[in-house]
Amino acid sequence: MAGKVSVVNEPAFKDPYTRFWYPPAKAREEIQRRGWRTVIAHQTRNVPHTGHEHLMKNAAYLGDIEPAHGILVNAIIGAKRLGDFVDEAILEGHEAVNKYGYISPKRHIVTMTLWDMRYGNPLESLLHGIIRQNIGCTHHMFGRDHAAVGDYYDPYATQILWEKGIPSFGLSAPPYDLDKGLKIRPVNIKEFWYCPKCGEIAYSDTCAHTDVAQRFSGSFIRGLIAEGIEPPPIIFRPEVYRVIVKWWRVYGYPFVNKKYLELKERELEVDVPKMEIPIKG
Amino acid sequence: MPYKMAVILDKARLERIKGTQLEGLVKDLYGGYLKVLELDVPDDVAQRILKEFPRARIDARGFIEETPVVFKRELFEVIAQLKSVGREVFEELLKPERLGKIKELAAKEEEYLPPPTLPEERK
Repeated sequence: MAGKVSVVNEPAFKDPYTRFWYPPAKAREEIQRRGWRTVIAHQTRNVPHTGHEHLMKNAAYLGDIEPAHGILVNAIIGAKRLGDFVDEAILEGHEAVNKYGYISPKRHIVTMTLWDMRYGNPLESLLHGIIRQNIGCTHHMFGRDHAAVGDYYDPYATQILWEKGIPSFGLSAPPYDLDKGLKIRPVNIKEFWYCPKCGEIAYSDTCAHTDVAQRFSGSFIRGLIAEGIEPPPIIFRPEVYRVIVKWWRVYGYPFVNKKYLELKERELEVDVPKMEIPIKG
Repeated sequence: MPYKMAVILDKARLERIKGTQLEGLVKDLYGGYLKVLELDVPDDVAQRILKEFPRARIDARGFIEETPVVFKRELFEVIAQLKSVGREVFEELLKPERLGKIKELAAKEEEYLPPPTLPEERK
């Protein structure tokens, strides 16, 4: 596809989605208004735990002559696998990170993209790169298991693609190093864990206490939440937990289930009226 | 490959295992904010759990997670009853009658889970 793109029926949203909707032109305007020269994108389909927060804070140390000016969270909103967090909690959970000052709102913004996750790991990361470049980001953070499901892919497949390319995918070099490739640059980060010896959340390539390190696990946290136990603040911000409980009360369930998916399908599907498309002869 | 499962211990559960040999097996997680009992799960048992509960998965740490809440609850009950974290716990848990009840309750759980009361809402 090429040429001018026209939106035939712009989606209409209800709260809380409205305030997170930044299509490309609006996002770029907002970045300009904030005076951000470098902006790093954070892809998410999750409510953030403090491991995600550390990923954002530390990845943003990379910029050009100084750390990145802005962190742009771009949540994927649409059909997800059963057991993922509900969309509203993902958006407001990330918003709580800046609303309660864990990352200053001067440096952090939450936005969304309408897209049904394909869990395509490296291939999907290319699409993520295109989307985030279009909305004005200069950098993109890629962590472990990017857009992954189960152990189908190598946990660092996406990072390999953005570090040296994957020839079997037709990419002999990283996407930013190809002729007519993307301009957005990757920031590949491994993981953060809790180290009882350091007594803090540490970067896995820095902390050498691998024998005692306690890794973050989104599945473990979801299990904790399902059991009705509030996760400790060192792994989960209390304000973020309250967002989950708020939407749990709305849907009677804290995660995506069949009922939620059916509801979302009704709300998010857009029926386009039949159109006559003139064919230039 | 052996996997693991962790059972979270809140105050009530800690009280239940007080004075038993299980007390010495309690592990601190995340700076002591959480207490857990960890169980080794033999490969055949892990495969069985994954088969019985399609949403269960093995996370990046090698732990079986996202089993139904009722499964975790029953797991603790069996641990407390047998005072063990060995293979026999899973043998008891996966007995047809017990497993049938767990699956029945788990199906309902996928439609509704009661939301928790927050500490500030408790009188």
